[in-house]
Amino acid sequence: MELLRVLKPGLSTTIQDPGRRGCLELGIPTGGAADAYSHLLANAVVGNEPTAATLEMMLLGASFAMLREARIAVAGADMLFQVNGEEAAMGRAVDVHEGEVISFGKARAGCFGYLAVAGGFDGTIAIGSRSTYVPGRLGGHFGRALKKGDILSQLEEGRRADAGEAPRDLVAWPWQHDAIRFVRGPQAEYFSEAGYSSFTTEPYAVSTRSNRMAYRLEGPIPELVPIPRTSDTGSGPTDIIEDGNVVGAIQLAGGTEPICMGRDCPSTGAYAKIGCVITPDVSRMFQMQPGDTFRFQEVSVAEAFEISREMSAVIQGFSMW
Amino acid sequence: MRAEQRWCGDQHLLLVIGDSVTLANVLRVIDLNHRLLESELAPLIVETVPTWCSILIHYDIDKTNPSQFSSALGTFLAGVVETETVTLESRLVTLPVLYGGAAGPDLEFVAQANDLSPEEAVRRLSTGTHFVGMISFIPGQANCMWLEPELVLSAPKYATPRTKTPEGTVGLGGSSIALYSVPSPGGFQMVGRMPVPTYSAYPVLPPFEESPILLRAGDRLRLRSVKREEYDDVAQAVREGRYRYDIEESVMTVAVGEEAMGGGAPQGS
Repeated sequence: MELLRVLKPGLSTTIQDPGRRGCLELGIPTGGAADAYSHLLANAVVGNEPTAATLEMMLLGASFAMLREARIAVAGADMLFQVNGEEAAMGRAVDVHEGEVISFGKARAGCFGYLAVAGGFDGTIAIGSRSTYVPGRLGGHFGRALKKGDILSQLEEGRRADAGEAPRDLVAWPWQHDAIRFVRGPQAEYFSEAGYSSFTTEPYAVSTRSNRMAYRLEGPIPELVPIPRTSDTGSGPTDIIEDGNVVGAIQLAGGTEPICMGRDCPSTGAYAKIGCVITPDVSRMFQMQPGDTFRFQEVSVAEAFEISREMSAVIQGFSMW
Repeated sequence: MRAEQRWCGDQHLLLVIGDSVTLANVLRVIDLNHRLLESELAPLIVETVPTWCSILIHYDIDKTNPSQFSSALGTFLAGVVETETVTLESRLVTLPVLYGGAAGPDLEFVAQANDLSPEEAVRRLSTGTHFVGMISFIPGQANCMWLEPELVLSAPKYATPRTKTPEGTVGLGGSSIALYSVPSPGGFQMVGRMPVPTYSAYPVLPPFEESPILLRAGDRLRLRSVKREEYDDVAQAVREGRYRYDIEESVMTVAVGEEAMGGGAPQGS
């Protein structure tokens, strides 16, 4: 069912879902919504399963002409969501009608905004997912960001939930980024205790050279421990034998530049990783805009697991209204 | 089998089985990865990323927790008997390559770095058997090592990586060959170019009906030298959907010897 036509595509608007599994060993990233939390929240508000595809908008939102009536919801970045020029609420089911215009502007808080529609957006399924992976031209709408004039369809609605509304603090949760929690390793031996100390006390800023592939960070270089170099590792101080990458892993590229791996990051990397951001905070990380500052906070694996479980319980509890 | 476990956040573990890029290590990785995915741990595993000498494991935190999974993994590893040989499915895939010239602008540099003529460098590249150790970094990029030590070439990587590498480029960095499957940045010396895709998002040719990726870890490659005319003919056949890949199904058994390493549970909790 044709749902809407793109009037303005925004900076980079793509179809996303929770991503694709089982293809990292082929060099294809998991991908999916940068802020997985807000993707789930927007879906939950309109009664969708977490796997339903949403539209992800980055920094500058898009605008659309509705081709039929639909129930929609918006979560993630606050991008001045409007229906026919009137500001509309985020985190709430909104019924829109044929001929109406829904529009988004520049993000006031957060980086990635999500538009969900009851039933979910349709799009090409590639390797089990509708997520758009632009470098591999996979999934979504012809494997690319939306352009003016594109027409998107929705899938049939399943059960139509009562009009839902997410509490304000759930909507605003991903915008809080004072502390980003991480677990030490997997190459902790490359960093001294003084290195970890400065890493967790000094502020870091998100660089303008950040995208879905990687968030480049500006801040102090953690002190390194000299590790013997071999022809297999390479000559740089943080060069390692290529190993598997994790979304949220913080590499120290060339021994100087901290880079947090994004949803579309390469499947492997060859720089030492000082730590990995815990699952819920990965969503917060990618809601930061270039120039935003934050601090890293170390937690144990057990703590990280408990925090992750609590967050998924919050979302699940909210979805079962 | 002894291997070291390292935490990667709250859903991943890195299993390190060695600290060098050797055929024995990568074969052990491929073999161990197969065993792991056929073990009773398999239902707890979302997916794995096998590389040169480690396996990244994504476990399902809805079914297990980090310490439980780590200890189950330890039990599994304790029960893995290291064998003298590894047997694996290994297709022999022959791909056409135009070496040198504009297709391989760094061929002369590579020849000089190995004190060889460009013709001899091409002979070693094109007659050798290249073992695909892993598919990594970008979609479908095959990273290979020579199976014949006497044919190995080595060259340093670019000091400053290129921002663009044409798809189909055959690269040499250190002693490994990488096939650039999609246009991407890169630091390997460009020695030649294939007129055939190793990645395709659409099923333009038969192998891509099943997967967008042509090659798999464990495959062996021949990078047959072709002249400009054949390169153009093959490129035309690819465009018209007529090209058929030269793929021979087979099984390979290789000695991997024994090499123990320290390890145990990840540090910290």
